[in-house]
Amino acid sequence: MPAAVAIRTQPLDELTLRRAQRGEDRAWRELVERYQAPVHALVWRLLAGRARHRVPDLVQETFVRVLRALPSWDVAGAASLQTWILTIATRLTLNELRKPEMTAITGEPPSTERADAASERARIGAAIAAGVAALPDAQRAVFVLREYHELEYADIAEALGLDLGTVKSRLARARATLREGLVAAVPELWRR
Amino acid sequence: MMDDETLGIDLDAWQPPPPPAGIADRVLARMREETTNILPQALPIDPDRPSTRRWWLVGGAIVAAAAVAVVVFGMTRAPASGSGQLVATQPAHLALGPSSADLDARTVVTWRRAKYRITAQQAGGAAQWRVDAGDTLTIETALGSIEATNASLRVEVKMLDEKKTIALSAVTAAAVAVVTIIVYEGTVRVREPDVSHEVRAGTTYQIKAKGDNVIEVEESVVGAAPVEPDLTREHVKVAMDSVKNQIRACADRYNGKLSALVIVDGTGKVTSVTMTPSDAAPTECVARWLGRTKFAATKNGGKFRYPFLFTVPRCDVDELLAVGVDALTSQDPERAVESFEAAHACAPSMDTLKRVFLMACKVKNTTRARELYREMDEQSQAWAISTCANNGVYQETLTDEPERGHVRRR
Repeated sequence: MPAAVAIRTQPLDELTLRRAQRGEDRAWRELVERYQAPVHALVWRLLAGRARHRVPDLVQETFVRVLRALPSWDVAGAASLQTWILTIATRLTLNELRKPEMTAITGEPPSTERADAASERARIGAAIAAGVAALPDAQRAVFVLREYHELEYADIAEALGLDLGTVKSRLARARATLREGLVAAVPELWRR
Repeated sequence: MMDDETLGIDLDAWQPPPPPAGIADRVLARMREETTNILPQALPIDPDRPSTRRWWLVGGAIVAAAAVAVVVFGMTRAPASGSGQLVATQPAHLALGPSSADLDARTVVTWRRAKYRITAQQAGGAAQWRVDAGDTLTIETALGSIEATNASLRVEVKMLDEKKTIALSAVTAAAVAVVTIIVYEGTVRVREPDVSHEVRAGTTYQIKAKGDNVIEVEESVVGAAPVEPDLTREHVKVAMDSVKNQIRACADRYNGKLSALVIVDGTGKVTSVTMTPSDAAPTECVARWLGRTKFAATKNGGKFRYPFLFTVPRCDVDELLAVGVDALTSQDPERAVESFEAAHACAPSMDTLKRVFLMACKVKNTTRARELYREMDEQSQAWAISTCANNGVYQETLTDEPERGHVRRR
């Protein structure tokens, strides 16, 4: 079965980017609208099982920080704009997750639908959500950035302040943990 | 099947909902708020103080500080930023990035570019300005300001009597008769002290000297005409030019007019100086320099009356605050400190004091934070303690008293 299809966003053109760096409203708006889907998806997934009501605030805060720091962002630097934005969103969300009130896992609601194709997909989705929610924050971030946003290992290492080996080991542990959970939740997936 | 690289299932089965509508609107609203109110959640604005947003709407930017009047600063930051002064003794071209100005002879322009905002002071003469679509130019004249973007215009500043101006940097409303704005392309906004107008392409607009911003110049004292025939106007001009810098330095913090009645003997020596008013701050200093001035020898000497107009170069607290906010959002706290300090020096208020204080806390300048804390009222001090604590500077540092009843946050 295929892995996730990462949210691919057409990069912002250079002229718009320069204008955004100069603080032009229209370019700011274009930047936010261009990248809001991947940022929202990232934050939403990182907060799996946590206080999802915080997602809009964190997305908004991410872009405020992006726009504040944009004038000093190096266009010719190694990271793409999307990677840099996702890095900011990741760090912000992980900081949020460290707050005591964010530690309780609420869990995704169990599915009660019939086992047709659509409901099977929903069951798998719920099982993934529950599995990702159960991962430690550090593993969840690595997993989501890699599997859903296709960041390179090096970019993940940079985003999370880790060395490459740690990124790989956390990703491997996350996959293993998730696999165990999915086997238990949707056993027919592995019997086919 | 599973392998080391993939989990082997359809991860897309877990999909987020689409982002809520209006994210961009909310982000932009916050950014606009920040650029006008600097950290509004941490810095309450005094309710009776006009909002910064209103200042932006009301005021064009004014070239700040005496320093930029005569000193050319190099390009210290981004290539687009810098400041300087051009004194055109003959027609000259001034390149300001994508914008530019062509100055007629005897035109003085002081300018400063902060990113895409250019503020210029046109003290006299005439200049044709071309403003790029990406730039916002504010030309400050003694009678009003002109704001333009994506426009081409000519600005002519006509003096009452240029010969009696002792120093170009001291030219003010008192000396300016009329400012003419001719718009060739685009639309510009002209702001006078009480009103503002839009001036469209193909239109000419004049700001004439009127109202309180003009110090009336008495015709009887205009010019440096000698009372006695043997001391000529040219003799006076040469002699006065020789001391103009010293005299200007006498009055670097003085706004107003002085008049001197000077008597010179046949050897060219000054024998008497009578200053009006006699009690103004720079009177004694100006009289001393006049007394030392050496004139050309003549048969009978002579006497003349000489007027001086002095003005302290203005500073613009809005502009300085805007630069500070720019610096803050660009993560340049040192420049933010500098700008907010300048704003506080320009127009001290509890608001500017709080901004300086906040920056002192951010950069951990505890000495400055303590100084500012002592200047605050009680309510502001309570704000200061909590705000500074968020930046790791605690109450005992500000007051020498340990914090009571609170758990210190580290």
